[in-house]
Order: sequence, then structure tokens, then C-alpha cells
Amino acid sequence: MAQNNWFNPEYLSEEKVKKLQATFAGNRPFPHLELAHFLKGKKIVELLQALGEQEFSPHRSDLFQFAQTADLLYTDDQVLKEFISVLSSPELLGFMKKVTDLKLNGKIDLFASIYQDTDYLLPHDDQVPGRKIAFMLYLNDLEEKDGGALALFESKNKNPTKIAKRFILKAGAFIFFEVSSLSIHMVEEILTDTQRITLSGWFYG
Amino acid sequence: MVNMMSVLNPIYLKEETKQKVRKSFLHSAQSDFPAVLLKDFFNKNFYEELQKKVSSLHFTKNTVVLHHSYAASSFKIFSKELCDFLSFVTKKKIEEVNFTVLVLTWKDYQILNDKYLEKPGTDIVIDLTDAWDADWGGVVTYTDGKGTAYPLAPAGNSLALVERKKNLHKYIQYINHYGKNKKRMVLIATLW
Repeated sequence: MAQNNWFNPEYLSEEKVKKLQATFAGNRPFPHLELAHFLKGKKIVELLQALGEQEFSPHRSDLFQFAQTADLLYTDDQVLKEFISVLSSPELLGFMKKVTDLKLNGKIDLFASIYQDTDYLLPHDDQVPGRKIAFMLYLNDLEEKDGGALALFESKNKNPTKIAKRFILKAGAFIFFEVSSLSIHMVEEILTDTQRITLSGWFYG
Repeated sequence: MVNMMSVLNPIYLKEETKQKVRKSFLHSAQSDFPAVLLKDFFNKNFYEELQKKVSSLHFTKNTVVLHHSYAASSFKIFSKELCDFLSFVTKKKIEEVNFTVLVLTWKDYQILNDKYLEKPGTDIVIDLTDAWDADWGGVVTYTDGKGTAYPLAPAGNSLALVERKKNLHKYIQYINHYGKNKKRMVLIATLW
């Protein structure tokens, strides 16, 4: 299966999927999962090389400041096309459906983002009709001092109150969560002269 | 609250200047961003007194994660000179102005949220922060919802009047780590 060329097969066995399903559903502050070393090292290098040829435009609003590509579904790059094909394959969709117990229709969005010194994404829930799962694939390592952590908020009476969990960027990690009114999250500000490079998007259903 | 006789920079008391400001503000009504920014607005002594008084207010840290993070207080300015000037420029009868005072530091912000949208009005924004670098964030910014942003250039001792029409909303840019250990202080009021 093509996905075995890209993703760590350890995560894809039936037995493992059952465990992940329980972990995803039970994780707080809202259902989510972090799969370390999900993306194979060789593929990280290939993706980074492919993204080096893509155009990143600065994006700035009240909510965010970072650089992003256009929707990669329309790219001509062969590596990225293959990656999208694997990401939206029946095998990976089946994996995501089993782990999250959510109905997915095969539609995905995919963007690459680069956050540099002072870039950020303030708290929001990602809710747009049809979005079921938000995901991020990390393509480089950061340390705590660099900032750029993904932070998940806990909520009280449907109002986010404080950060409950943080994830420091580690190359190859795959993080995803169920999109809902509770899925409040942010990307903390980058604090050093470094880059935070990710592929991110949504599975629709 | 502050009530002193000499409030405005004398230049803004001149009939010619007042007429110019009013014309500029009223003419801007047809533009995408109807606003005037008046620099060196207050008399220097009044400005320094205002900074002191506002700094000594009791501030409450106020965070609504999906809308804002800042410390806030309230402050009234009873100044006939100021009210007469604002009444003349805006053509609205103004006898006192109730300001919300916002103090923002590193990681503070105000973002747009449908639950907190304000109805149209005339905003008065007084900047009490000297030597603030816009690259640190904290800039009061207006947006038309179509992706165009209209930032108010930070300038201590400035007063901005913004005719906030329907679909024009304001936010305050996130303050980044270069603004660490610094304070951004603004007074904001809306005339309905």
C-alpha cells in the first residue's frame, strides 16, 4: 500500500487502531491525537524540498500572521500530488474514520504554512460547515524557547477558559482533532529567528 | 476624571484649523475609511497630566479568549474645550466623553467576534503611548470585512476620529515579544 511508503506502518495495524480510537475519544480537552514519527523521515525531506518550490504569501488579519501556500490540491508538483493522493486515499480515510468514529466524504483541504519570528494564530475553533477533522503534519523540530506550540483550550459552559494542553513541534508528528464548538486552539507566537513549517488542512464529511 | 481649562494644543483652537479638520472628517465620510488622525492634539501639560491620571487608575485584567485579552478601566473627561471641539468637528452635541481605557502588554489582543460586534458610531481613539513601534503590534486597526485593513498609526498624544460605518469593525493587533515589558495605553469611546 502506498501509504506504507509515507506513514509509519506501526500506527496502521488493526490492533493499534483500536487503541488509538480509545485514546482519541478520551483525550481532553476535546478529542484529539498526536502520532509521533507518523511521517517517514525520507518523506519529510522530499516534502520540504517540494515546498521549497511553492509560493508562500503573507497572511495577516486580526486573528493571525504567517505565510501560507494556496490550496495544494491544485499543485503541479509530483511529490505533493502523490502525498495528497495518499492523504485522500480510501486506506488513510478508513484509518481516520476508524480512529475518530467520524463520517468522512473524502474531501480534504491542504495548505503549507511557515511561521517566523512574531508570527501567531490566535484562539479559534476552525468551524466551517463540513469540516470534521483538523490536522497538522509537522515538518521540522522546534524547542520550547522557540514558541510556536499548538495549544488546546479547555472550556467551561462552552466558553474557553485556559490552555489545557500544548504540543511542541516535532518533525514527522501528525496531530488531529475533531472540529466542534469546543475545539478552541491556537498557535503560540514564534519567539526566535526560526521557522515553523507544517502541512495542515481538514477532512470533510 | 479630568477637568482643566487649557486642554487642547492651541493650534486646534484656531478657527481655521477647526474648519479644516471638520471639512476633512466630514468629506472622508464618502471614503472607505472615514477618519482623521490629529497629532500633538493636547496641550503638552494636559497630556502629561492625563497620562499620569490614567496610569493611576485601577485596571482589571479582562480576558475573553475568543475576543480579547487586556486590562481595562474607565475614565471620563469633562472638558468644555474638548467637547466643543468634538461637537464642532462631528456635528454631534457632546457634553462629556466616557472612555474605556485599555492597557495591553505582551500577548494581549482584541479580535473580531460576531458576538461582540459593535453597532455603527463615531469612535474617538486617544493614544497615550509615547514611542510605540508598530512592529510590536498593538495597533488599533479597522477592517471592512473584505480583507482591507486600516491601521491607526501609533502616536502618543494623538486623537483619531473614525466614522465606523456598517461593516467597518475594529480590532487591536496582537502584541508580540518585542513589546515585552512595555505597555500600550489607549482610550476609546464611541459617540452614537
